[in-house]
Amino acid sequence: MPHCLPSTQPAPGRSPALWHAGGWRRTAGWGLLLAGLLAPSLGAEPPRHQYEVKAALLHSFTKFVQWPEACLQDAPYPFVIGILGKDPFGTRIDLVLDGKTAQGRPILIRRVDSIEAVGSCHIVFFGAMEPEREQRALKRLGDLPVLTIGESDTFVERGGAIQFIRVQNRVHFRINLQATGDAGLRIDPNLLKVASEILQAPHSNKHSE
Amino acid sequence: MNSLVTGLSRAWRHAGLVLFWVMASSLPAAEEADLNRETPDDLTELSLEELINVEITSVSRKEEPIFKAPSAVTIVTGNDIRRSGATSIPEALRMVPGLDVAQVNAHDWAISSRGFNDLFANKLLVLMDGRSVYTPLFSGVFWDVQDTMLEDIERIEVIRGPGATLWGANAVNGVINIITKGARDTQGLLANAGGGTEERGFANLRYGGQLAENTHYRVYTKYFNRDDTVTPSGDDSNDAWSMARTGFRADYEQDWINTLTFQGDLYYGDLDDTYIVPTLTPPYTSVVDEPAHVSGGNGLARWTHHFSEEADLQLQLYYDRTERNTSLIDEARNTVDLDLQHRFPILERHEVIWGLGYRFAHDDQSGNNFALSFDPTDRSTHLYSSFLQTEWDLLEDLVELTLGSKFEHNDYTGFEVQPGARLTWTPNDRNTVWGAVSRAVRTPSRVEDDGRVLNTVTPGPPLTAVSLFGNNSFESEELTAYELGYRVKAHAQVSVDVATFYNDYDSLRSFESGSPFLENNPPPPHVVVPFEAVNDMTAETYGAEVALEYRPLDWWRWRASYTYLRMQLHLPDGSPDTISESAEGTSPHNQAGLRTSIDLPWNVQLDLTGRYVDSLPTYGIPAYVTMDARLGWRPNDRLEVAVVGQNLLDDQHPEFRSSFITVPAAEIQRAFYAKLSIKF
Repeated sequence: MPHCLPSTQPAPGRSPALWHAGGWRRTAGWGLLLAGLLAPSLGAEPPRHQYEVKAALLHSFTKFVQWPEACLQDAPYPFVIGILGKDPFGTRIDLVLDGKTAQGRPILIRRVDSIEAVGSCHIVFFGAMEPEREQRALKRLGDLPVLTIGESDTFVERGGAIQFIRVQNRVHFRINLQATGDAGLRIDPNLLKVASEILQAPHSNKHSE
Repeated sequence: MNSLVTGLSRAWRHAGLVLFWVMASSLPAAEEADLNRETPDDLTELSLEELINVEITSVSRKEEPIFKAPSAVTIVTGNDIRRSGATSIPEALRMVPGLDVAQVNAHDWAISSRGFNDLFANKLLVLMDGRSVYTPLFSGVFWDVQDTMLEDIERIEVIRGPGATLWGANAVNGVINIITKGARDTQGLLANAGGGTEERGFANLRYGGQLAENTHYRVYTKYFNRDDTVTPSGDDSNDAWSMARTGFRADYEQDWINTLTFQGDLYYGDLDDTYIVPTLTPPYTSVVDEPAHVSGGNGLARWTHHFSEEADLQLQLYYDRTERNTSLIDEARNTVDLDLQHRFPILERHEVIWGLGYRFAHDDQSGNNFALSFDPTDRSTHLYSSFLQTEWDLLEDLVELTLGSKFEHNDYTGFEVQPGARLTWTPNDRNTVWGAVSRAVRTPSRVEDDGRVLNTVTPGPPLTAVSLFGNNSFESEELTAYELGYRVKAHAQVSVDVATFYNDYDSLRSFESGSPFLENNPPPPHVVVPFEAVNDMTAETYGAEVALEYRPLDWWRWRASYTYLRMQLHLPDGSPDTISESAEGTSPHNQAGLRTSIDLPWNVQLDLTGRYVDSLPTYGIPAYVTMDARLGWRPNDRLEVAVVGQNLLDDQHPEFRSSFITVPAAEIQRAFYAKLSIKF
């Protein structure tokens, strides 16, 4: 049965990296200016960075997933999104989710160093890491009420819950209902309608390091 | 300059922020123009359906590893190294398809890719954390002193083929980039020790800690003692060695914006070393077996500033000192290198990287003797380099074109230009086709410019010494390389990587006889028949490297590789050179490897690696098949026990011989060792 690990302490807000944001803006601005000069027919809606979109999708998923009551009872405590492995978001996720809430509580983004520390997260995003490590982390999180989200090739086949995929320059996702079921998470059918692919088959994770 | 994929990423991309930043900040109009769109619509207000329809920009290479790389790249991860049972970097490189790794004796290796292998192989560039470790003495690598705590290696990136556009001279047939983990990823205590038949004893200790919130460090120290190899008749070859090494790394990371790295190493080694040297007095040959000492150290500082995901600047400074004290060579070398790289996007689908570099090297050859000497004995060299590379995403992520060139000025041959063009076509997530045309040069080494190497002595009369002489007008060796590759993820469990090449070499090193002269010193008086290094040889080489990975189950992985190589070397008619063309027979025509990694129940891991290496006719070395095996047990995250067997299929076999300097024939023995690791 899913059970909850001790929850995270309320954490001070992360200050967005202003320097960085400035640099990015300058760069974007300059690029845009050049693009404007040299390619006047540029489309109206500029494409977004994939990790801005993915950050927003993480937020969106929280509206369609029901965590077990037991994990949400500590009301003033934050909703924790952990990033394990190499952080691909940079400050993007902090900027996109700045001031947002999930399941009625403030969102805390936490970069997690060790697999041991991810159990107290509600969502764990798997950045790049060695396959064996990913496998160990997935195994460890197997029946904890944590929504695992990753990008590696066969993430959902190997027991992950949601896998981002790239489809014609858009971010789509696959979902593994067996994994969300094991984790004790309830998935809103509206999420399934949008998923590119739904896996129901049991996954095997009994052999790993 | 961290890596090859990041190398091909970074290298294909770090470069120029200063200019960019100055330009950007001096253009207030640009700032304002972008303020309008600056309040980005709040993506979190979009519905799920809308979100999955937001178009995203093209992915930067950092996130998109080797699958789309426009060159023949292989990555060996730290985990691969651990599971292989390798105890040295050369052993770890045996896993790379297309590399030819041959052990000459206990402490010498010949490593090359795409041919021209030699103990003094000179067409491969090797970097450790951005620090060049090849020696300008002979444009090759002293592999015995290239080491670190293997557990701290994050990955080894190997590019076969020219990487000269970014990496510069000597990256002719390949680039090997050894990248260690950040200090943040090596926290805590790691201790391991073990021993066996060839690995007589080793111990490694590392501790990583945190100095402040964003500042991590690690220190390590290691020692090993390795046994002699054997002669063909089974006696000890007198080449046992031991080495001690210590080092540190500290990283400061200010969120994602600024990263500062400081690192350094110190090492000392004792080597038993034997040479067979021609002499002017009977019996005209002598066996020199004096202990050799090698030592060195380096310190590196690197600052990386990220302007955005797509723009960053890196500034790196390092100092490196090596000393090698043997009965033939007594060398001390100091190198200082400063390197700047800047990467930034311009236009929507276009990225620019540029860089500048300066390297100062000073060496002192105080061991001049009749067998090997240099004139002058000490020398300073300056190398100035710059590169510019642009990448266009030509067609919505489907077609990407990379154009670039390195411009270099060295003291031997002046300016060198090394351009290249690479194209990738990625019709979908499962297929990548890439092709490249590039030019690379191998600049003269010190010994080719002003060295003298004794080749043979004939008693006569007259008493004659044949010696090879460097030549001040020796030019760079040139390569034009044509490459074509294909990668496919045929299935979730199967992937295939094929790389093919045709290399056209010009101005390769050969030797031209000069006028004999009489020499009185050293006595007795003798006639010297000089052979001077010239650039008269041409060559074509071609081949293919195929790597296949099959992962039938989560816990079972197969990797197979096959390498095919042909070399055709041509000397002009009438050339007196009887040495240079023999390089045709020093690299195997065929190599194959098969590796299986199995995760058994109860946290037991089994790895079996077999390899076939074709014969080397020049040295009369027969083809061989051998196998390594490792059985590891990891009852928990803190403890690991492993038993490793290497070269299991025969008692001993030869892999290579030395060329210019005669080292007794040595053969590699079957070996076993056990290792215990703990982690806190």
